[in-house]
Amino acid sequence: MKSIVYELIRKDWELNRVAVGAGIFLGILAIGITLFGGTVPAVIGVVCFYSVMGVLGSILPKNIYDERKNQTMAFIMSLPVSAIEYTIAKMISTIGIFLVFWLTLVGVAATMILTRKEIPDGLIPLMLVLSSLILLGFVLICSVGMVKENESWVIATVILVNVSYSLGWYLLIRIPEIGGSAFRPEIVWNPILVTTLGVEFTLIALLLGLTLFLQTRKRDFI
Amino acid sequence: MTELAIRMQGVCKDYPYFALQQVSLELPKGQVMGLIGPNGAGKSTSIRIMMGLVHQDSGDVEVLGNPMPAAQIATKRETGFASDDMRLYGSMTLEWHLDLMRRIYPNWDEPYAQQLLKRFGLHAEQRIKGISHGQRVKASLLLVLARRPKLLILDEPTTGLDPVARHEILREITSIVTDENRSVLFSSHNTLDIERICDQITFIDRGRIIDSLDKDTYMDRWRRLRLEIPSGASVRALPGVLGIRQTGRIAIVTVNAFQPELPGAYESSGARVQAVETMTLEEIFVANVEKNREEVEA
Repeated sequence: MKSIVYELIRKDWELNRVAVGAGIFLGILAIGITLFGGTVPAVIGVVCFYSVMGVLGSILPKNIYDERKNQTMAFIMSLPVSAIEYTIAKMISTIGIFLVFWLTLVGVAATMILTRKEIPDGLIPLMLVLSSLILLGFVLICSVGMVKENESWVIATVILVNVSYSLGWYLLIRIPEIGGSAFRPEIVWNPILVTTLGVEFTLIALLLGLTLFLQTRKRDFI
Repeated sequence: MTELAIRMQGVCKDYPYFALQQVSLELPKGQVMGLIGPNGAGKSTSIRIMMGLVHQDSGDVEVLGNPMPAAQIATKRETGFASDDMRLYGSMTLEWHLDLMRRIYPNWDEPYAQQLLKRFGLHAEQRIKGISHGQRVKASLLLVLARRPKLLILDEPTTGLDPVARHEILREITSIVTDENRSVLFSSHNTLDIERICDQITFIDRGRIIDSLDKDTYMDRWRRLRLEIPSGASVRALPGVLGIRQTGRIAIVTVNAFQPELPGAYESSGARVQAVETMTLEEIFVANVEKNREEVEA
């Protein structure tokens, strides 16, 4: 017998198999466009991939509040599972699905940058900082969904996060140590870049920790 | 000392517009307890506390000897829970749900599950969203019963079911307690169901336990006396009398602590006892709730 957390994660992946399948198919299609060569297909491909990821980022949090909305929460919580195990399973399954796309995007983008002569390698650190902001935003949406268990809160957070991406990217690019070396032919790491990446991943870890902490303090689960 | 499947002692839980107040009840192992109460009485809250889904503000809860909510995982491993508002995953088939249960419960009884599938007229390959309410309830019950739980907690499982489906489900629940170590807590506001299958009865209203006793003793305590009284006279409330309703020369006396000498006492006070009637659980339930509310409001 596998652990209950594993079984809950598996359940979520099976429940979301259509979204995962469609996302992977569209993601591969978007990557395929970039392989046509030239700047225009590359830009279209990357935009399409980001769009797929954006749509998934908005759809996947449903995995968190749907169980309460569809009244399946009582069924799941009647299984031999604690609230904290449920939270861990839900966060791993939801963020895990998103990570598949995020890692693919980052991998494809890095491969493109490193293999195309017309694209400067200096873009790699900037791409990592900007992509990590998307991951941070997604984790924030999931944390709010988990703690508030309310569709309206999630929708409001999705809107806020999506609006914040443009502003966040703009501000990050304007930092000379982050945006300044993007068009150099070689990858340049500096303390500000590393610190920014560190802050993003620390915030992700803090959000996850805070979510677990708040879940342990909850007294009512259905 | 009797072994208990459930013990609640002085349990309180506050919500903005509802409070569970000092709820205490005991369900001995091998017994079926009916938890009866009107809508909003606190049945579901009490059950959720027993299952660890809601944490009590104060008081002690032990289920199968485990303190709740601290030992909820161990308890839930041996407890089957189904409720009227519990839903399965609509987009998935019953087989998918069965498979999930097989992986989680090592004691899953596959031959029994297949037997229940046939008996309940369910099709494993059918999607949950395509089945009727009755079939959904049966599917939920199947998923619970085939785990062979030591304790079954059912929160209004027969609500909205047709008589045939209700009969099938009640028969299955009754068969569970042929095993002396298995117990059932069954909440409902359908007193007929409770009367048919329960050994123990607990009444709850407005967050308080009104009464909790074994069914036979309890039913035996309640009587309705139909008295004919001399014109101009009125009926006195003797010990054990809960309420008196008088219309002209006829008085209906409801008794909640019946003693065989009570009719004689009324005869000697000048009344003529026309009938001493037993009461149905529904009549007892209504009388009990009304009396409790009068006392609380007084």
